[in-house]
Amino acid sequence: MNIHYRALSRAEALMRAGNFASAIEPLRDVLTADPESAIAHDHLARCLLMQSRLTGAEHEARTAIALDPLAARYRLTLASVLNLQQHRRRALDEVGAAIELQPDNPDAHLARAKILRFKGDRGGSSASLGRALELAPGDEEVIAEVGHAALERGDMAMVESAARSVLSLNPENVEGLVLMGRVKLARRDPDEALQLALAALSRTPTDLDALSLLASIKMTKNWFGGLWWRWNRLLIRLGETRAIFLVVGIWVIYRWAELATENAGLPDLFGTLLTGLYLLFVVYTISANVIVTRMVQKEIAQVRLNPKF
Amino acid sequence: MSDAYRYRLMDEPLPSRFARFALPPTLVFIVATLFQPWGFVLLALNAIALNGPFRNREVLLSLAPIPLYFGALELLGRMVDAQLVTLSLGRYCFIAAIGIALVFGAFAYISEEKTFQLRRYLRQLRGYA
Repeated sequence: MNIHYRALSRAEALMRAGNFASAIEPLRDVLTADPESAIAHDHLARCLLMQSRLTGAEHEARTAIALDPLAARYRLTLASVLNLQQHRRRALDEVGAAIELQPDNPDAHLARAKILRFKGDRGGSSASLGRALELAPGDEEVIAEVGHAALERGDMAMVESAARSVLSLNPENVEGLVLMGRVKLARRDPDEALQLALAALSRTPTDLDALSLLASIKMTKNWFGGLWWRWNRLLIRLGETRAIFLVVGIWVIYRWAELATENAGLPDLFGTLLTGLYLLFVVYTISANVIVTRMVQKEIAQVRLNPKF
Repeated sequence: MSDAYRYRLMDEPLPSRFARFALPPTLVFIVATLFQPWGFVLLALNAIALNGPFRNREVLLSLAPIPLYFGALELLGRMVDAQLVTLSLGRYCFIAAIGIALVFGAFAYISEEKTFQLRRYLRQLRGYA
């Protein structure tokens, strides 16, 4: 067995165990020895994707496609990256190419359903999900997506049913745990939801949905951080460009209001009040960010101390 | 095997002689907005110190507010002198121009912040310098 193969096997074992961060170094070893290994580039893209390192993930996924343009799987990895970068149309193009290569690949239809759901096209998402269910009726990921779609519609009974189905197939499925956590949180049972979030994180410590659930739970008990959390979620949903325009827009409105009070000859008190409010907003945004991050990190540190981690 | 010969991930910052001078981008951006327009030079210098994968783009985006600021000042000054706009309207337009300049600075800041966070993470992971 050569070193290249051993490193690749080790990386794959780590990825299966949900330890994507540790799989990066063995994959780097594989690519140092063989820079043209398409599968290693694809694995690396998936590991970077799990760490939200989207620039690196996109580069690796594109390299994998360049090396093997006929592999549908690599196109799906790229589609996942593009989806998280909010380039939905390009992500759909990649999924379309994957479906052309493998029309009966349930993963491709599932990816299409996810992207369309993020895009807000419920009808299209439902049709693609239906096709994925036809092709792979017992697949954990497909059933979990049924739960995610129901969660977006606010149909908690369906979310619970999907989560139960997933967990009956695999009690350690991260998506199933997170979905069940969402159900518990919606039913005002934060303690149970917290246990589920921590169980998901002990399986995959970098899972974004699990981290998001954990933060949501912590924020239900904290109005100071809760407000910031909702604001932050709004900015994330808007995407980088729109979020920048929104924040700069708020600044411009603040300065215009300041100028208007001056032009209208209003007492200085109004201007001072506006400046005070603006500074309060700035200080709050920065301090709440630090506080929420510390709270979540403290909780994750507890997960790490757990002997099951 | 030396790190220099190993496969390099595209998003990782390259080691830089100025790395020890890199500051948290949030702090730098706040300073830049408080001391406009020259504060944005600090944001450009921070991009060089961080040496991220988009360093040149970050430097350009950081410096873009400076000509925008002075260009808007000059143009609006002339328009007010020529009585094309009132002084009051000119001041509103100038704030809008600074807003556009801030958009460029914000893009540079977000890019630098990603590099900064990744650098910190890698340093924790394997003593990256």
